[in-house]
Amino acid sequence: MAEAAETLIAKIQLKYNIKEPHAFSNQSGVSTSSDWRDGMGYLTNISFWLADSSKSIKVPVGDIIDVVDTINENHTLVVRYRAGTYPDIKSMTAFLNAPDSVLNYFKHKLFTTIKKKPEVKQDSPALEKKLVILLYMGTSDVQSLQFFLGTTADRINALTGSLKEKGYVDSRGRLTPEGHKYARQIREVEMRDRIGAP
Amino acid sequence: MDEEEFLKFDGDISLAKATEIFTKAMEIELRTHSVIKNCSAPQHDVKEFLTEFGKKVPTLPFSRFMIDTFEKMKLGRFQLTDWRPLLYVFSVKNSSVCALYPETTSGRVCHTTVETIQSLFSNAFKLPCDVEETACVKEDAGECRFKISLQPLSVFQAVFDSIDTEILTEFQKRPSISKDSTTMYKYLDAEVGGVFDNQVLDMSKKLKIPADRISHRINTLKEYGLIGKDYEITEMGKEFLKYLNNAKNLDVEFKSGAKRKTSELLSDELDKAFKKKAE
Repeated sequence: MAEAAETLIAKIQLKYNIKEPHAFSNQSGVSTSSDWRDGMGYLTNISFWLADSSKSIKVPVGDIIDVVDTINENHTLVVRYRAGTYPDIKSMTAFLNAPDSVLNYFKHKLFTTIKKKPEVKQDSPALEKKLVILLYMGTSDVQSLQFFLGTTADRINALTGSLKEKGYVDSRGRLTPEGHKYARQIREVEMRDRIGAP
Repeated sequence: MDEEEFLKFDGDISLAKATEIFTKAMEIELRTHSVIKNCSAPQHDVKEFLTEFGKKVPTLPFSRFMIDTFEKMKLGRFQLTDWRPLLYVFSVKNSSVCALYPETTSGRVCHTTVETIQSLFSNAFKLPCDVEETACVKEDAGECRFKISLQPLSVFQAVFDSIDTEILTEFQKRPSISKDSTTMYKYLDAEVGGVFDNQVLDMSKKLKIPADRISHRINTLKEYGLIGKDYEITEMGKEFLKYLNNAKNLDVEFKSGAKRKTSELLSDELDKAFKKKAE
């Protein structure tokens, strides 16, 4: 059977940043490069490419695990893909940054190409704040947290992991003094919003 | 692969056609963004919508407001087709997003609509949610359908207040509130009328709220699973009551702190005024 011809679906100018494994390390940890590279992003029916003047990365479309749109400080598209070259590393992550309209265009092309289901989950930063508030109010078992946040146990665990990294939650899932301080700040903002205080 | 080899663009679509689609998609996104930015719904209407579960839901002011908002976005003809506590389904006919993908004949394509609905609910209505396209015209369905699952905590914060805290507290104190009372079941399950249960009347007197309003609130707590089918507080109801009580104590602390700050500011202002006068 003849192979399908590779045809271009989208091409954009972007900045990208890749979480890559330590090249000469036996550990399976990954390090985040803080360097954003100016380059191009290409999407064909067969592969997804990132390239700049010195380097290029080519990922078969079938190896893309997920594409997530995140809006934190910047609008960033997160492309997670299987990294076959490194047996110890299950996946790598490419962070893409470009003007909103360009990124949205590329995102929709990626979604369609990988046949991603049209679905948007609750925003992580907002959900994380609600989790902190629930912990602050004394709700701590996963079942209750799942019920109140309307999400899965996996997502609760991921959010708790992120809070641990930030030092707001200890190893037993309880708020640390820093976490209490953060919860009070969130509550204060909520209260000010509610009573219209400056 | 050399860039020159990319002669064909998106299969059979020309570059000009792709640019046209891109421009239309941008127009849709700019329009929806602008509508969401200027959209706000009266909290009273939102609360009414979230505490109504019967046939009249599609005719409520907030339901009409949502349909009008989608009309302004020109995303297609929206209709609220299914509703349950925390879960709503909209169907969309003549979707302008589907029209952007004439070449697609299999697979769901309404990412823009999904994102728009999520942004509208989360940002304009302050109701964070998950949104999923469950059917698409591009997959041979007669219409596109979107399932919205609201975050319970945010809904509870919008719906319940100190009176509900009192009601839940009463249920916790008296778990057998209605075990021996068939009359209360009748009253609660009928919308209006029926025979009043003494305990509902007690609550009504204590809280100075008409008994039918108490019943409506109890039904709402029941619909959201905070009171069980047998009219006993559920485990989640107990957890939520704990949350409400802790929040109440913290709110008192915050308000007294805010008052203190206000009086400190006032005395600073007075000090300044006196100093100015003395000068």
